[in-house]
Amino acid sequence: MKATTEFIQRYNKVLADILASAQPAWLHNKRSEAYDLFQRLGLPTTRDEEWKYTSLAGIERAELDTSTTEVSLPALANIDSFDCAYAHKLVFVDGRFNASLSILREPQPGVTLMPLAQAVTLSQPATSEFMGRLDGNNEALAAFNTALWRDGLYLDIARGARLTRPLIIHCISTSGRLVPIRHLFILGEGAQATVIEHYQSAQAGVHFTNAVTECLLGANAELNHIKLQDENEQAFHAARITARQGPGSRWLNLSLAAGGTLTRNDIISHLDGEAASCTLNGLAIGAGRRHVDHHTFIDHRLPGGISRQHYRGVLADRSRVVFNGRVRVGKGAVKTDAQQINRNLLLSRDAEADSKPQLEIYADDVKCTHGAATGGLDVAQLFYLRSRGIPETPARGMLIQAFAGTVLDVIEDADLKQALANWVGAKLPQLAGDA
Amino acid sequence: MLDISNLHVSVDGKPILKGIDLHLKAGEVHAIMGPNGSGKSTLAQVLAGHESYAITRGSVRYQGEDLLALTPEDRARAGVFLAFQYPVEIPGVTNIQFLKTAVNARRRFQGLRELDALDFLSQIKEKLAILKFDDNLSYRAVNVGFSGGEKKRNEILQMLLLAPKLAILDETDSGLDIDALKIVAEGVNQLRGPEHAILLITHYQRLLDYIKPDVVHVLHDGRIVRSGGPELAHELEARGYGWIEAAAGETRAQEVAEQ
Repeated sequence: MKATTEFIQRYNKVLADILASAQPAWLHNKRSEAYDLFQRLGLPTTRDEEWKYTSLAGIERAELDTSTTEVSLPALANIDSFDCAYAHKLVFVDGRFNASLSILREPQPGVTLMPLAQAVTLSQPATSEFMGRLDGNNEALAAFNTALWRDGLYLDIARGARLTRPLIIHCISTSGRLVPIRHLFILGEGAQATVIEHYQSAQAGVHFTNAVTECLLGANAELNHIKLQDENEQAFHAARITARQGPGSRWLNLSLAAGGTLTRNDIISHLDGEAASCTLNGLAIGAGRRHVDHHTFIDHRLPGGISRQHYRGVLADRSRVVFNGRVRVGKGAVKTDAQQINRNLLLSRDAEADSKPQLEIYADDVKCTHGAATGGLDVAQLFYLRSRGIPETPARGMLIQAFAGTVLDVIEDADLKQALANWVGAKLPQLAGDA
Repeated sequence: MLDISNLHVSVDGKPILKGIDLHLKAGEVHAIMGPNGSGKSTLAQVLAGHESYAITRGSVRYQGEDLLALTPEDRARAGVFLAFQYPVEIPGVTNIQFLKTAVNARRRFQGLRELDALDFLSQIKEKLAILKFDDNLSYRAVNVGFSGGEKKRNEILQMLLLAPKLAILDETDSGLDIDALKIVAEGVNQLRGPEHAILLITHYQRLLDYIKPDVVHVLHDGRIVRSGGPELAHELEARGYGWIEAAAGETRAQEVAEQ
């Protein structure tokens, strides 16, 4: 408790600075309330059931630089480790929009796109209406973010409008920084978009990225939402992504985590409309002492909802991968069809995979399944490849890549899928050599 | 090309092969026939380098070298190929990617330039035609959802692409209808030639109507109990394995008596 108090003290001044800056009254109030809540809750500990496998002690101890001076590193322009054909590319450095590194193309009809801080200043109605409301805001790290965020992406797609190519958000953190970043995506009825959040470090050195993304999907809207975590080996990363889904809407969330020392992703879907569906897929690539925790919550509230979850982990060295998948099927959510799969590939005896499905079903006439399996590489497959002259290390590499690549099968756009496969492929070779 | 001398092999301490002698020269096709459990597949797996078998006695030389000292991949790259009785399914790896990787591993070993996707496609085309292999299968995961016949043809496709010096076919004919059998046989006959040796392991004589062997061996209880020309296969087909088993029993009784 003492450490948490110190942690809170450390950020009091940051809050004071932020509260002193120009902003609408609603936001000022929201920030103060959120900080009060954060002070009451404190950082979660492993005594908290939701944080049983994931300790934030390292974040608590980290002396982070909360100054807001902008860094300009010439190297920043060259760290596009993920690339595909895109509609717009937005770059945030330490949570602040960087216009010179961003590429904004021709505006498309019905698509509003700007830094969130600017959207607030311009009084975009959705900001005051939805910020902090979609998520519920009762969780400590989300409250921390609500109090301290500086910028992020605001995306509003009008009814029936489409963003034809992916929108890429590169979020780059520099060494030593605390980076609370926040995004808000609003999709009107029948709107469609693909958004890629890519988190990375400018250089080696500890930093803490605290990201919150709130999404609102109108009736029959479709959001393909991809998140790549590629930060350095000392980075802490805690992200919370929430979608509220209207009737018939479809949300695809694909989370690929291949960086950081500690990554926690909370992915939450509220199926608020009838026949809404979500597909949550994820891959954790564990190496060194990396810890990756995917925590999902799907709330089926109305009839005919469909949810699909498929999370995989590839674990080398002393890494640890956690999957906690909670599905609640409320009383009114008849004809719900929920499926959950978790599979882990253990490449080292010292690695650890924890898998915890939680199904809470209060409705009749529902179909809910879950399955989990953890094992090593298939000996028969390995022998088959080697018997064709493929040496052991590349043969292992092929099998690891095949295992990991399965989570990408939900991506329909062939070019995007290939770009993602290349990105994943580049993270895996060093794992194949492990016994 | 292949010299197997007094080979003894155990699995989990249980002897399976009990002294195999077999000599196969370049250009020859030998068939090994025998009842289930006689050790045919064990011999095939041992030659390919499967690690769950313990070689307790004897030696295997391939082109004068100690084959048993090589890893499975080194055997393959030196020109040994096993067509699996039960081809393995590999979800997530497309057949074309698998074939190209295997061919390029071999080419790299031979000091040849690796083939790019385009070169590879043109190379594979003719082989696909010989085997009447559905082009769509190239883009599906290796053997996943393939019919029994498609899996076996996929084995022969790999064999033709890798052009091994020594091909071992482990019951490639089992489970095939007559049309598929003819296609597979045609594939094998494509490989046949003065540079290549082929070891056909089969339960039935049927395959040997389409691939005529130079020598037929009969394996029983871990030993080769009889070797002869192609007519031996017909004799087996006509008289069944019981005849061989009885004869083998007599031979052993005789050996014991002589000692």
